[in-house]
Amino acid sequence: VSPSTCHLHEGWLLTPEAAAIRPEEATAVVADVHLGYEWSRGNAGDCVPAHSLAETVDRLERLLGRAKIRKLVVAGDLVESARPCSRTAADVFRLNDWLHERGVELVVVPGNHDRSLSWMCARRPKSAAPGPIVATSDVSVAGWTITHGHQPCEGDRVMMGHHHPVLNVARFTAPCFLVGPRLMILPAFSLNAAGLDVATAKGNRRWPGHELRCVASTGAELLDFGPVQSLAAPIGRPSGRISNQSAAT
Amino acid sequence: MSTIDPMVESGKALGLLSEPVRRWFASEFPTGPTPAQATAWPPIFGGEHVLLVSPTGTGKTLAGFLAILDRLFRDQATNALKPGLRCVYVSPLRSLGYDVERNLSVPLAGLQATLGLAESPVQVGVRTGDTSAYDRRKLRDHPPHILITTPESLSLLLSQSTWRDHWRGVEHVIIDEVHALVPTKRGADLAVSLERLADASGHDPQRVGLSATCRPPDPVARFLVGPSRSCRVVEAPRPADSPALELEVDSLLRPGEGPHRGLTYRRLLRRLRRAIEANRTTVVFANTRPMTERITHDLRHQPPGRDERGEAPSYDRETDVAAHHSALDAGRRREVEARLKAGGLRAVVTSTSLELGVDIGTADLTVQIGLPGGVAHCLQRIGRSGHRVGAAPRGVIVAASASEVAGAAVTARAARAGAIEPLSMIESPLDVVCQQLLGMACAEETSVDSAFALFRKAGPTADLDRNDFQACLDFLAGELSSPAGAFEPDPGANPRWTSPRIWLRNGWFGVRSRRVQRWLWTNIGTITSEESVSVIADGKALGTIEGRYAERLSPGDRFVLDGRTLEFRRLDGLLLHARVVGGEPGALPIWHSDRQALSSELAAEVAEFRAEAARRATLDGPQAVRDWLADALELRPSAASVVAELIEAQDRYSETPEVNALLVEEFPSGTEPGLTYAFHAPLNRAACEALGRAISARVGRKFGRDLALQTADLGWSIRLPDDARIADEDLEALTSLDGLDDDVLEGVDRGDLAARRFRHVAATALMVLRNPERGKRVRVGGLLWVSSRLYPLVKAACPDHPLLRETKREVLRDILDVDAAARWLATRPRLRLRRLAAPSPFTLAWISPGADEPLHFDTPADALRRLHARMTASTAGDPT
Repeated sequence: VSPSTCHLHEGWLLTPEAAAIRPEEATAVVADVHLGYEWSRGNAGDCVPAHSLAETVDRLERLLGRAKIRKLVVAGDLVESARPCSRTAADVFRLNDWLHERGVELVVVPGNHDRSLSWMCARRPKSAAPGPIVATSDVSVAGWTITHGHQPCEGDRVMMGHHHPVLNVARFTAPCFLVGPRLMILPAFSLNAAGLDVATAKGNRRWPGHELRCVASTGAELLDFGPVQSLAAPIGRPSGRISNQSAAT
Repeated sequence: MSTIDPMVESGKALGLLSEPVRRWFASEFPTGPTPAQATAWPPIFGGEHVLLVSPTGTGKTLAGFLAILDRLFRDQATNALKPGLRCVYVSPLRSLGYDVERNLSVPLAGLQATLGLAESPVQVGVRTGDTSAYDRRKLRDHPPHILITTPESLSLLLSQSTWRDHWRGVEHVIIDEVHALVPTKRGADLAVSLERLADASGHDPQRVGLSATCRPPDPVARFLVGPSRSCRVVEAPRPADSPALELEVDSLLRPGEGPHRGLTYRRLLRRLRRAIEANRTTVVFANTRPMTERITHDLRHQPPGRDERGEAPSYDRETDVAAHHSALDAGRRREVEARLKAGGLRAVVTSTSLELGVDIGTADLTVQIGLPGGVAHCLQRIGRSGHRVGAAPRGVIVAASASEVAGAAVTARAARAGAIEPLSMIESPLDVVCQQLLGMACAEETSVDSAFALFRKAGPTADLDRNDFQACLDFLAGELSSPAGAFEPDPGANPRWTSPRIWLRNGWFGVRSRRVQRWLWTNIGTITSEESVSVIADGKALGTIEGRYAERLSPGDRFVLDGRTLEFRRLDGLLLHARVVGGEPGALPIWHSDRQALSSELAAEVAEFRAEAARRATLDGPQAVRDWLADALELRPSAASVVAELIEAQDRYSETPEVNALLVEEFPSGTEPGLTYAFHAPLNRAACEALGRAISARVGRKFGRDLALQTADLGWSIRLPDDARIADEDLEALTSLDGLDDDVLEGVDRGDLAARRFRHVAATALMVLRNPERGKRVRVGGLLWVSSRLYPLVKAACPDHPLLRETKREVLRDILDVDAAARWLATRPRLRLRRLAAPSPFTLAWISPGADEPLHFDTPADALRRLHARMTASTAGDPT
């Protein structure tokens, strides 16, 4: 693995696919997959093309090429729909089958969107491979507690998702990791998730005392942007238009 | 038609009316019918389709209605008047509908009294988006003789099977303010609805269009009746004794002063206060909603300062000044309109929402802040004053800079001459076609062939292509196929669309479920708006602000709405809770609306007189130029001096471009390293933007780096990255006519214009719902999901999607003016390149800095890498 593509942090290999790999445990952690996003949209009345399963599989394919992986832990929000949705359920089993064929076990730490995951898992097709495993509580990998992050979590070292951190550059949005010695926040695996802009005051004051660094993904490589607190000044709030309009006579 | 002698005609016209109607009219209007009425009644009686073109305040409502009322009363006299719809009146404004209802109640009550009846035999009903569920049911079960409605509500009623049988009795359709609908998608939508109404009625109801002055009237007539019917155009002359309009241009800058926002804004407020003091009621057009809010707030609250001389106004600032714009709560708007009509307000500040319709009674002055965006708009606004008999419409255009004085001068000159811009229809908008197809499916099972024939009868969709039509149906049915290589698992298979709306079989189509019907009913219409958030303050709905703006607020932030300063408390989905606070104005809420612009004729005129003034300055000297400008532009001497000074400054610093030259000025970008190029051309914004995008595409290809483009009337600027530079010999190729269309398209694709328009197209076609069902809104993805994610997804899944084609058509045909740009380039303008140390006076005046659009020629990854390199370099150089 080329060190410029990935980023090593506290024994974790962070990858441009928004995953954290623990090589000695052959385990990868991702968060916020939001599978079946389009079905939720469809249920609300939108007529859009199905895409989230294809995109997820495509990214996982690249991820599995980076290291030997036997277990994929989803740190919450595997699915978008918090209501029972049979089309999402079908996609979950398609994803699980695809992983099973490649010898990867799927473990899900439930997030706030996963309320109906047990309902979906109960709709297992006869031919489906075993899994996914829905954890009843937080999972531990190499001494790190993997949690979703929508609820307070006890743990010495915590890895979570939920916040979808991003770095806004011009009008382009780059997903980014926020990493510190005792806390790691994963970017959303789904491209559909709009996120928390880490360069705003709202974003970088959220976890005081954690000395988080921002590691952003170009899609092909990771770039270390340094401490989150130092980001706001050079990038600035994207709000320069307020003053322009005020006295536009 | 225009040779008719009104005096002779008026006698004849009265003779057409039945006895009681004539008696009522004669007692009510002893002077007889107005010319508009006298010329319109005969063809309306004759059952022809009629377009009545007449200025405001000439009795247009009765001109359209009285002949129809007469028919109803004749039927009543022979006991042939049965319950049921007879006439549908469509108004583009809800408030106009209520106004008409009130205006109709006068003749109806009069006729009822004349006939000595206990109650009026003719029933009138109003159906708009504001109508309560109870009244809707009542209207459906007992339709009135005359139904007053809006284009959206008409489309909605046509899409309900319960209304299906009501249309049979309809014999007349009146469309008010039809000129305002012609150049819009809303108009295209209405034109198709009218065909659906004709189809449902089983015959072809008479159409009567009421229009303000339009030249030429033919496109409006064609819009009204479509390609296959004939239409009688009746142009009513202005009453002979009506006074000419008074319109002047007022410069907030004095000679010798540079533009200064703070100074001109304070002068503007003083100017407005003086106008309000001196007039009974003043209507102020502020163009944008933030400006409307700001001015209302300041007129109400600004404490008397140094230059106020401590005089208290003769009116109550808090209650006698009101704001009016379409983001305000409907109830609040109605209240303002009612008070305005009753003469209870001294000033109303409006964005553009009072431009049409509503009779505002006692208004005697209109003030337009900045350019009104064309002669037609200008006249329409001035027409809001002087509705009293014998009073002249009076208007002032207040200009804050030399370039605004110039633009205002040519606009005012054209307005006095009545030279309004020609109108043209939107041609076959496919998003509207999709919405109407869904509407037809919701009403009943429909044959594909008859639906296509119906579209071809309406003016805007007369040339609808059969393949485009089929693609719209396939999209709604979820059957659009994707090409090989799209991301779907099986190449060539249909992409799976999440919720198809219709079924499509054996040449018929129909709606899939009642849910889809509900989705249409709650999302009908074509009015585009950014996602908005409702503002509730102290338990009262005040209006809406833009969603993107609301998302950035934190508790304690202050903003202004309805002229009140509000403090943000929390955002709860699409509800914003706020608290009213007094005193200091906050930051202003942002709304996006397409910027107003000069027409191409006016832009060319400005360019021409600039060049002429520069020539005269060299030949005849400064005083002669001032005299000539004052004379030619009908300006006051001080305002003429302000314009002359700008031209003299430009000539000292750079040069005033000839109309047959493209002047390019290079100067260092102010805020960042690198160079900016300003291009000056005698074109309006739509043409400048087309040419600017094409040249940006060519520059971008050459350097492979991001640019920033800013467009305006009479020019545009392109900011280049720090190591790029345009050489003299590059200009020829950059301005070549070869491949212009393709380069305009590339320039569009590199920016966010197409993605932004796609949001609206997708919403109108109901690909995404503006108003999803309660509790089902998908929040993950944010407000911009449609432009940032769905747009590329649809491009990948189905590159020939009808909504992508519609987006492209709208951008190239409606927003940009590629043809005008190409015509000008074909004249082979001389190319002039000047390298300057700072932006020239013309650049500062016309292409003001601020809202540029980045055009991406490097990949997002490159942009991120560049930012990273810049930041690591700056930290490395930082001694801490």
